[in-house]
Amino acid sequence: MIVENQLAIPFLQWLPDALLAFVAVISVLLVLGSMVGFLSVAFRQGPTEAVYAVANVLFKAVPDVMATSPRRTFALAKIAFYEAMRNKVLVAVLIFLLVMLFGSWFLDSKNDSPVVLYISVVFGATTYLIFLLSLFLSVFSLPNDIKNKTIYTIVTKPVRPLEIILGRVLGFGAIGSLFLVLVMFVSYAFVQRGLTHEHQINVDSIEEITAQNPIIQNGEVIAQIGDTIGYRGKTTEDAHHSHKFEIYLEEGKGSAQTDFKSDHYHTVSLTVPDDGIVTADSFTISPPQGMFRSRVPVYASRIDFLGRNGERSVDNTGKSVGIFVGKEWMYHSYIEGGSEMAAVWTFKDLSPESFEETLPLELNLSVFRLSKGDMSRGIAGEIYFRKPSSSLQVKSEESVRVPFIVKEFEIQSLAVPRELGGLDIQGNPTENKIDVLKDLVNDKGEVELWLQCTDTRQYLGAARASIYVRTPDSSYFLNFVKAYIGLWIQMVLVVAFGVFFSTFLNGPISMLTTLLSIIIGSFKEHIFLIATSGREDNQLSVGPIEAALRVLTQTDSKGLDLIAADTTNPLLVYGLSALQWIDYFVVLALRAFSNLFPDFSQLNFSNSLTAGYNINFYNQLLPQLLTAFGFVLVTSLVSYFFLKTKEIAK
Amino acid sequence: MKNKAFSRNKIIYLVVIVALIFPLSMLGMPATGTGENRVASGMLASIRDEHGLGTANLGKVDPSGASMQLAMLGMKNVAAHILWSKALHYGKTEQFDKVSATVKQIVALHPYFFKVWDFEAHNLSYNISAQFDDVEVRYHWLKKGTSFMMEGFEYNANQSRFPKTIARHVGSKIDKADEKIQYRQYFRDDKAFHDELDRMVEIDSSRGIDQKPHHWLVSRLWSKQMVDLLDSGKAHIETQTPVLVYSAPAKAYSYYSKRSEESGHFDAYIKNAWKRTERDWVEFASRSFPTLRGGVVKIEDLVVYQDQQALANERLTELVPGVREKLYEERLTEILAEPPFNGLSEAEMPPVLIPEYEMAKRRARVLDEEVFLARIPEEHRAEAKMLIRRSLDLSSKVFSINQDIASANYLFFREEYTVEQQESALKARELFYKAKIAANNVVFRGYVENGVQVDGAKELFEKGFAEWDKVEFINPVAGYELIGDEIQLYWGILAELEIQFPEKLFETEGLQLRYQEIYEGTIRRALEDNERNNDNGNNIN
Repeated sequence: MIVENQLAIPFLQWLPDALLAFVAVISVLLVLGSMVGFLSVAFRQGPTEAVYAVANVLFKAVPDVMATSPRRTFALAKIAFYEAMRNKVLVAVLIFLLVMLFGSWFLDSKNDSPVVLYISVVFGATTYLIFLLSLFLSVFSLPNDIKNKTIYTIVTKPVRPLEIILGRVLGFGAIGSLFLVLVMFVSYAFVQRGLTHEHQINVDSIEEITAQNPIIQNGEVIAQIGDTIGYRGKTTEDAHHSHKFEIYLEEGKGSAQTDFKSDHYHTVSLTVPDDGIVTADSFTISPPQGMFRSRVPVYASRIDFLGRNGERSVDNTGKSVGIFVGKEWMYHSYIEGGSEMAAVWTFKDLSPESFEETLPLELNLSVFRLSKGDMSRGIAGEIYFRKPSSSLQVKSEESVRVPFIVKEFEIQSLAVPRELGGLDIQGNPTENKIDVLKDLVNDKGEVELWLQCTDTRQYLGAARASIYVRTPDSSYFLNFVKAYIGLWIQMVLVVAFGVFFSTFLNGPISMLTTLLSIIIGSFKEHIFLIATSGREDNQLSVGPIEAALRVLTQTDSKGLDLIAADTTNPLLVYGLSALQWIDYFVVLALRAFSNLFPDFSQLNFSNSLTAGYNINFYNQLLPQLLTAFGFVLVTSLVSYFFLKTKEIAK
Repeated sequence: MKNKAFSRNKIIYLVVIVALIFPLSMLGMPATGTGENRVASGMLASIRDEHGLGTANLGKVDPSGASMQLAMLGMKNVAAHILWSKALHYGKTEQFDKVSATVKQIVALHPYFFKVWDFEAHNLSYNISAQFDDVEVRYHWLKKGTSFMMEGFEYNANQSRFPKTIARHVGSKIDKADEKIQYRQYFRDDKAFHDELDRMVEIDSSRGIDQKPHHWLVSRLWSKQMVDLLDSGKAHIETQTPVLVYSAPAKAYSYYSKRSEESGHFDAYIKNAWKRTERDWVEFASRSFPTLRGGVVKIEDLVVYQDQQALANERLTELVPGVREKLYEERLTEILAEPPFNGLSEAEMPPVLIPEYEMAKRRARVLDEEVFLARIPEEHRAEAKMLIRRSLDLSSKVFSINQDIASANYLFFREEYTVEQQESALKARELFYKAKIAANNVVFRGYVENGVQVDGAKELFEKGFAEWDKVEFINPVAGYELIGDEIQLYWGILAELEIQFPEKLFETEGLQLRYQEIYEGTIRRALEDNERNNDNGNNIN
């Protein structure tokens, strides 16, 4: 399974742009707020008074905000927490339990990826419940207090508006957190329990594996033709699947992994009894393995593609790409088999101390067959390592080729020995073996991994995340917790927005606007794509008027420009120009608008969990935490000003 | 006072409510019991049962699906739309397991729409299956789509398009895909899938020559289910073509017999298989099919109608000799006087107008009843009118039957089962089978029997053609089509051996005529290619 957001930008690379954007947003909001305030006062009392009023608010706000007391804030948070508890919101936990109990009714029991299914269900259910919980808590609290006039019991005390806002955000956030913690444990148990199963051996399927040729070990013939050297068979069917296995014996014992099905495998062990009669009882099958993984991949810093002529192949934006085979989803780029085409990954700073004897690679490649070829066999590829030179076309030392057969749609493990045969710059074999992590690393600590397809008329598809070096797994439970932190961030954002809208709108309306914010946040990428037509340089796309015109005229090129070129009437020319400007500002506004809301899709880490990849705290979670903090800060500050303008807060 | 009125109103409402309860319960009382013990108690339940309108009449009712629909609060169509978009997105991004899971959710919301099941089943079996490189995995997804459709049939037990689609998945897809060799083998050995199919069709009756279920026989069972459903009146044929629907079981048997032969069996079993095929086709030919004019016809009555029509025309000619021909000439002259002919005669007709001229002749032959009758003496007019009407009616029936025959390709299949049962044909097939094995023997290009090298492929083919010559055909031209592939393979062998293709291969006139046609066409094309290549500077002999 491919997880597209695995390649997150490193934190330190993300931070400067993020800070800049944050400062820009704060500045824009400040200016906009001041202008709105100025205009609203100016209409009533004139511009001079307006300037004075705006300055007064701004200058008073700074010390007011700075004097926010954590003690009072926490006290208000406690009140909000108890208020929520009194409203029995934790009934939502009960609802979640019910969903988990009866959830199996709706699950596709025969699905080939039960882990994906179960994780999707628990995350889906949790997301909907937590959104509803935080929505209802946050949007009705302040408006109800204002309506019931219970707000006066708070504002008559020496509390600041920001403390009221932050208190509610923290209080409701705490309730949501408690809910999430409870739900997280229930979900984990549900997933673990739901996927547990066991197989027995299918007695009728047991077959002997006999030697086709004499087997010689250490100069001694250990098996003649026809001798039994192992057993193959199938397990019984459980959870709508069964496994195949092949065990080769050594001194009457052996064990092997079954095939990988439904996201897992089992280890089957065989001990041949003294009487030599193998029965089902001679085998033992382990519980499912490999189902709950948290891989920690080390990705290449870049990927390049070489064309048929051996030169680096690029598209019109300068990005290195392979061949386009016509697939709608252009995640993979393809290299042609039996040609000079290659995909080159450049790994940086692979520490020799971390990989003693082998370099554990994992591959997730795609295959495109131009002809059927031999359908009983997969497509063959080969990898080798090379020392980076001044350019990809310049020859340098490299290792021998390591051939393999590509397995599509599954993560394929390839343990490459660190020491391999080598080839010098002329392509002649070296006398001694070379150490990939020492002899092929350049001054910058880089080493190249080359992939080529060896079957002519076939293609292999690759992307940067298609090959990586695997380091020891991290804890699955910890990964599960990190995925729930993503949900927690979403909950906090919903609470922040809910409280923000409730400072100037009544309960039902603020609920609708908060719901709308969630929807916009969930489709933010889609909205952004509309604004930029999915262009990688993120330049603005054509606007609605231009788009409508193109649909009507069925033309691919600029419709308004074409019409303008065909006319000499100055009124029409200016009119068309005005339409283009309107279009431009509409699209600009759409793009800016999409940036006002958090991207909820980036906060959904269930894909990483189901695919078995570790969620990197520094590169994936921390940026999201800081972004959420930014949103909470901005919404709280804006809420502060809204609350201050209401009479109750004066 | 106010309280009294209020209390009075309350009592009136209460009385009305109680009074309404009785008719409501009569109308809305649900049915009790299931299956044969089902009793439709209320009026609405009875009407539903009578017209097959209840949800339970459609098929299985799924409580989880019903709960999901309830939980959608009336927005199930919105949810289905979103899920469908998601399924397409997952398909595009190759997350096929999510496609499968999402599709299950869609059908939980819309279990009674055929197109939902059909689209997704096709997606699983044809589109997603083709994405995988491993043939075994492709087969697995093919089965997934088929199982999905079977599940749909449980919910829609009275829709004939479900078994039809399942028959196509199991029959055509397995038999004709690029991976057919592997698929056919996997299907034969797939006990788990056989057990799954056994829930709905009797798998034991679909065992082939190796005692394992054969995909075409299983397909036939599904086609029979479809036919039985239609015959029982529970299902409607809707927009499907009747001839194609009802010929499906017979075609499946034809394909089964053919495949069994291709796997190297030429004994009494195969002869019986073709006999069984014949029975299916005879049954098909005896079935009534509707015509466009509202009547029904049977394919088996074609010859009878043709004979009756000939008799009617004969009698008409006897009655009023020459009138018809005269009318034809007059009509043709009229048509030729108009554009685009503008008075041209047949001899003067330019080649570009020949097709239109043929059309004009057909138009001229159409009998205008009134004009014809006006030319006939009074005493014969009544009989002539009756004969004309009869002839037209029979002509329309013959036309309908010929259309049905063409749609079902009945003549080809009839020729096939008639021919393949004969001893000479079986011998010929055995020789062709050996010839193909010989042709694949790259070392020797010959057939090896008991370790001894015997005839080469060329000799085996020629012996096979000689046996084929002894066969009795209904239509020798159709008989030629049955060995068209073998002729091509034979020519391939000759080309390799650099031997000229023989001009005469058969003694039977019809076979030889058709062979001659193909032969001349092939030679002509080869000469044209050679000329073209000469012009381009390449010379291929």
